[in-house]
Amino acid sequence: MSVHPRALQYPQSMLPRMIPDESELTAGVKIEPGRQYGFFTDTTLCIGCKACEVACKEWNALPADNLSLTGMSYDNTGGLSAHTWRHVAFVEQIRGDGAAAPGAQAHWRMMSDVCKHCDNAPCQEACPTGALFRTEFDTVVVQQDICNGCGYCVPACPFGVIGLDEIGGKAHKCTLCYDRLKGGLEPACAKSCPTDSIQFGELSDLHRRAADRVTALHAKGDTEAYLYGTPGAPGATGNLRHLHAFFLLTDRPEIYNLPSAPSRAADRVLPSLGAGVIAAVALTVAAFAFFASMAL
Amino acid sequence: MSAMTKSPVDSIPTYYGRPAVRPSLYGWTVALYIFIGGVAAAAQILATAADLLSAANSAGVLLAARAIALAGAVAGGILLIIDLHTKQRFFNMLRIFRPTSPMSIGTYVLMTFGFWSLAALIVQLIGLHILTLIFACIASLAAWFMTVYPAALLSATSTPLWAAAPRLLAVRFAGSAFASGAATLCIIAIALGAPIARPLIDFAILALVVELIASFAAQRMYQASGVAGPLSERPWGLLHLVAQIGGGLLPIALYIADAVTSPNPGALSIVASVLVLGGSLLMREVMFLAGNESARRPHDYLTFTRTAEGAA
Repeated sequence: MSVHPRALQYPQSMLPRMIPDESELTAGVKIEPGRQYGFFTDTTLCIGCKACEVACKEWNALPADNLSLTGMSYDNTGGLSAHTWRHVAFVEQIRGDGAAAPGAQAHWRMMSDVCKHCDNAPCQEACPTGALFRTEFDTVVVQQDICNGCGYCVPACPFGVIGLDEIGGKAHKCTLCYDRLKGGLEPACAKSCPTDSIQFGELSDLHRRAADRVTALHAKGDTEAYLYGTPGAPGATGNLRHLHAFFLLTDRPEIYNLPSAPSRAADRVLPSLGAGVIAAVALTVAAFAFFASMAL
Repeated sequence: MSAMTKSPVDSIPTYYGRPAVRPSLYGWTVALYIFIGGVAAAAQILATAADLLSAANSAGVLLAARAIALAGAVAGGILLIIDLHTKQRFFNMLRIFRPTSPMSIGTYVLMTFGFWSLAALIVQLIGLHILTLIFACIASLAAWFMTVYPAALLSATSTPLWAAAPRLLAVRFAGSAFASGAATLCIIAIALGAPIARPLIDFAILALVVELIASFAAQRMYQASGVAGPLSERPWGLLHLVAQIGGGLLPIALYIADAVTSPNPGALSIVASVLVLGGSLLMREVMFLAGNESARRPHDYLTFTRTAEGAA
């Protein structure tokens, strides 16, 4: 990777002030309101170092979640929650096809999971207070001064991401480092990723990069590589047009705890409400009939 | 093996069996609200229908029904605020109206229903009959939504058991709300010796039949989508069956037995009505808690996303 020419202007170790548009130096992208940003997480590059988890916790000052061992794998984080906004999944496989191969080493697939910042976003569509909103960077964020902890976003999320902090009484999830974006900084997880498994950038650019990466992997013989969450791909189903955080996977989505065909929860409002009101009206008509027969 | 291959659902892997979606934090308070809200809404609708046809022959039943409607709306609002995790911000619900959120729809439905139920009760107490009818009709329009919007609220989530049958869940909730509303008014009518008890019982039987048919149809859909687990295993499966039999089939039998054995509805019908109320409450509680359980089962959710049509 080449060094950005602007980086040569800042040779000192201690900077007197923040570098303007620092993301240009670290991620090769300028952050401007009105454009769409996201993450491309290439799981073939993930080494499971959890730098993203730590960087996220540090920058966002998130408390520890679970100080015990899960006992199932090297994954002692377990999953995303109100206080864990990046989670590295450790999928241990004997062989890709699941068959035992005597003497063979285990095969690891690692994947740094995060809020998908869906478009449409079921959490945002479920939020009755408007605390969840779409930012000028086309990401989805909870406004902590508005959330009243109704908790409806929690079951609405098709990926089990957003969580409710029962002590503070508000919902929390990845903000795609909204504060850093406003300051021209690359999100903490992407900046800390040592292998560039997590790439931050403009969505259209990331889509191009991801498609090129799949082509390159296929050419190298890794024909199982595919994208999850790009328009028309698995993950972008059921009226979820695309995911702002999308992934390059090499096995079925479910092994990473991702649904292969998630759907937009709000699409079920009208069928349910419509059928229900028709039933209620029909029962009311029946009640009229019963009362009228008595009145006669 | 291509990653895109659609495999049989029983071979869907999970991530060490860890949940793929989060269960709601809703518990018995929200289920109790839905029961109370359903009773209140159906009582208002039935009283208004009887009032419009001048069929009540008992101002006492109408007054009680309107009082129940108001009390249910107030109690429901309190239960919902209790369930918030930042209660002092309950008024933030009124910042916006979001039609994609049944929670937002329900906020305004409950407020409309409560306000016009209060107005109807006041003018009835004053003795303005025409105005009472107008206000009660407006409250009844909101009450239609009151009986069923909680089903839309549950369906518009990623909890497999709630999302698998959006239409049938709403029909169930409508049937259950109307049956329990009729049962409540039936108890009052029998106590006051009002003749409206007879058509209320006939109507309650119809509403119970609607609910039972919808519940059996829904269970078939749950089987087909692979999410029937929590409703076919203990404890929720057993309690669900208790609600269906004890709160559905048994009261129907008791109502009929009472009609056959005595000219006027009596003790048997009161017992049946109490069973209907108990069954209706139990059904909501079971659907809530079994739903939370289904969200904890990754296989149910991952299967559901493959088998359901998504928007259902």
